[in-house]
Amino acid sequence: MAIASVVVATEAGAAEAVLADLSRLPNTEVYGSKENQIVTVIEADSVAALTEGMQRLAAVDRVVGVYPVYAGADE
Amino acid sequence: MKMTRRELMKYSAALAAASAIGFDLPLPKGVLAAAGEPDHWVKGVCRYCGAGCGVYTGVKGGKVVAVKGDKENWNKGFLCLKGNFLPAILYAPDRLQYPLLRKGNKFVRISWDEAMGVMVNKFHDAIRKNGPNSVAFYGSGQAYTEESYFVNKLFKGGLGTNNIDGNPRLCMASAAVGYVSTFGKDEPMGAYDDINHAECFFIIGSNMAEAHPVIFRMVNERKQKGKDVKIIMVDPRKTLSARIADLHMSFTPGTDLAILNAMAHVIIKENLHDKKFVDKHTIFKTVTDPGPPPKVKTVTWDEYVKFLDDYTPEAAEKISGCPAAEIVKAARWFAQSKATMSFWCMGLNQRTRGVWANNMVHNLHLLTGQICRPGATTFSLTGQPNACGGVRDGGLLSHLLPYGRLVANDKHREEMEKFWGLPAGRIQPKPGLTAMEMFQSVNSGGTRCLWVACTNPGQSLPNVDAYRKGMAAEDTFLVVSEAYHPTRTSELADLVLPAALWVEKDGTYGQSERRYQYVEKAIEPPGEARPDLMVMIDFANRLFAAMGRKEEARKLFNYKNSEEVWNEIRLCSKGTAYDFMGMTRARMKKAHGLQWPCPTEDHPGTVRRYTSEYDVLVKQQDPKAEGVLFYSAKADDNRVTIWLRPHKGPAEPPDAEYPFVLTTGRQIEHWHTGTMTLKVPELKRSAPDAYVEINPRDAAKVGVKNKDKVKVTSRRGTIVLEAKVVDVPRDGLVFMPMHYPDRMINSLTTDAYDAMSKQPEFKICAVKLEKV
Amino acid sequence: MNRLIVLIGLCLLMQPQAVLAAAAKHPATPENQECVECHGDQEKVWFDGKHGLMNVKCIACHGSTDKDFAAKPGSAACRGCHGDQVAQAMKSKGKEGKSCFPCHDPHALTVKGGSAKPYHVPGGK
Repeated sequence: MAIASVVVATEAGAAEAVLADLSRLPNTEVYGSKENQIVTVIEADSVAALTEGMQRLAAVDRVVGVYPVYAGADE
Repeated sequence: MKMTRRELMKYSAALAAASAIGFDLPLPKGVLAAAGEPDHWVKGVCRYCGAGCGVYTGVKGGKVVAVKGDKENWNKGFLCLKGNFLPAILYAPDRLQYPLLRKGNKFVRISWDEAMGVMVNKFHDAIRKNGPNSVAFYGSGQAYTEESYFVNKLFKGGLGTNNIDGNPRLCMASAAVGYVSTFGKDEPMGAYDDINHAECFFIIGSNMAEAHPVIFRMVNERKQKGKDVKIIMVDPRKTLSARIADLHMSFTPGTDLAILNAMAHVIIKENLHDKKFVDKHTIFKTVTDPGPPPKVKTVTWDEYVKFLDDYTPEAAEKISGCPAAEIVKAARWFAQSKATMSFWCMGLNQRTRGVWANNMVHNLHLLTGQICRPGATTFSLTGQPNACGGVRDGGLLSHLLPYGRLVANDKHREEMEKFWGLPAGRIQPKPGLTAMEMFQSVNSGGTRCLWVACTNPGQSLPNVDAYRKGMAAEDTFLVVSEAYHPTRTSELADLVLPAALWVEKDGTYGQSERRYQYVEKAIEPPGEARPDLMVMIDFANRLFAAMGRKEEARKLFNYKNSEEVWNEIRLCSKGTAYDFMGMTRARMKKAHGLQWPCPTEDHPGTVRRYTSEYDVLVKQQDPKAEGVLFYSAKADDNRVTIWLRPHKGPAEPPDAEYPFVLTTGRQIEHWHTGTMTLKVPELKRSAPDAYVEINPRDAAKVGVKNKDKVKVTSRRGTIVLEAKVVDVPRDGLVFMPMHYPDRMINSLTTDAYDAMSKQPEFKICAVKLEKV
Repeated sequence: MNRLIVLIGLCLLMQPQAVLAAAAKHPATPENQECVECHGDQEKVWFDGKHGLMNVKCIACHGSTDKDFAAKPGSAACRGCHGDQVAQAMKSKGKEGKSCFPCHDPHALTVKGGSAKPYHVPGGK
């Protein structure tokens, strides 16, 4: 079980729209946003699998950047 | 709030990310964060007022994280400001999690086993030494029907004492006695749906906009959509409700009875009454000697007309200060509209002449035939979510037995003794202590053990300080079942039992329009808190074991869950005017409430009573009946009573020493004694503290400006609070909200009560104001 | 593990417009101060509108003045009474995104002139 917190940056004014899309992704939890930056936490089976999760975030419409801040495994 | 290790890791990770962008991360239970959707929604009912809005609670990770209105229920998905913030009440920091026993000035945590042991000892001791009437129960219109029914059975049927009453004695008793004395049976015959058909609304003694906001919404919608819909509002305050009134009638507090009689006078003098309806369906009665017991005489139409001779609009204007022209206008609108619907609440009920006021509103509908048709009905608004279902209908009050039965009626007692499997003569014929009498008995030491569940009399009783003394005293063992601690009542208790709150337990609520609704359990209660029903069953079995009556307990108190109690309740209603045998639990789980009568499983519920088109019980009584049949008034040949009631003022009018009238009431932000709503940060910020509402002219007289500190004193107590200077109350009238535990307005109010209903006059007492 | 440290290090270097400005907080106010005392203009528009008549007060959308204050509320705040409309608007696509206020005046709640076609069924009733 691995988790990572990620700041998702969006196009200007697109935060609300992206928020809604993110909250529908599996294993993804949204904690809030400031202007065009959204605090997200993703889970995966392993640390390696986290990269998949981040790619999923990056693929969301109107996302311009995905910045992991913390990653760790829950032994 | 407990977090799993994983949740903690996720939160910490999020915190790191949030701080990287300078974002203040809200707490995990942040109200407005645009987080993900709840995992599932659970159908239920709002915890607050008697409007009884359907709600869904959104559950995620074992917690309620959101609510939304039930759009398939009568409220069409709407909630009021309080309902909108429901989740927070479940997670307040002062939720009680363990039983507490008083040791001197402190409370000590004990186990449930020990708590039950102590409670059984005390009750058993009292019963053994002083008989079953030395113990009492004070219940609530917020408890589930299953809970009220069970404890009623325990006290009246098991212990053989009628000393069980409830807080609806303080809010709805006058309405209940009003309906019974006029119609023969309690509860409105109409429904919220009548709003959609009414052309004239007569709203008296009710600030719907703040006290029943979602019903107010329906009224406003009708006014917007209908053609020429007229709204009359009768209130000595120009409240937020009055914003939509076409005619706002102000009057000296306590003089509205004169206005109601004057309206009847005008209706008759201008020949606007429906003589055919009156002749067919009514009978006239007057009380010749109040007794007790009162001596009642049947009189004629002519005698009624003569009785009203003195109540000219001019005479009423002299008494009430309400202009005669307005009284005449109101009477004409009332009588001549295609359909008139009345609403009232505490303004009429919390009075020493509350029953009379209720009778007089019914009189207007009966005189004009504005009744038992879509849009034409006389509708009492209820304050609590289950005062109707659990206490009035369920028969918890000290003079009642379930579903329209009375302890004083031999046949009714026999029915219940048979139904409950009791020896003949077990149920006592004499009505027990009513609320005020009960707390007077606590004061005098007559009541040795008192169990208070789901209510807060230490704040809500009128003249409250006089009764707090008795509750605190050592000679009464006080047990309080509560979700929170401390409250102004639990702080006085000897034993406090932690209660599951709202959707932490399942059960049935019955609201103002005879709609019974099932509240499904959504989450677990915190700590060791238990549903009151399970505690009552536990206590009953243990007490009876201690009394050597185990076999009896096995017969009477053997329920595993609330559904088993509900099934017995349905059976108990069978064949009565309530008959909701058709409301099986399975149906209730699916339905968005059902209105009784609902005698069979395929019956859709009853929108309107007493008329053959809508009410199946009409043809049951008389297969040939067409149209209106008041089968509730069998004793009078199906004729309902128009009572000759004189005007009589309040118990404590203003005088030279106490020149202002103090009235009490509600704000939209809060409900009752604020134990729930004051824990919600948003609601608390919007309405943080008590105040005294004074109009600018009176403020100038007293020499106060907005937010100045004012000392308000009655014969019973004194409070200092901030003035709110607004042109809302009439000259000579001040208003204070009831919700605040730190500034209890009931230190000032009078405990004078209506002789018929025993309901106190919270709405009127005399005070003086001094600038501090 | 090393890969992660590098990753984190990289992202910290790459903080684009991470302006560490204070979040939109409400100034501290005494408990007995009402919103209308400073925000009379908004209050008047609100009072004359549907929410004003129905007593859907400031807190319903903006929270209290404490940690839960939201100057510009998200549509989640509307869900309690307008669940259908919020769900439908969130689903539909649109340049303006999923806040309610591109189309609805924030205090009068009336539909603004020139708004695109509605993203949800009509409210009320």
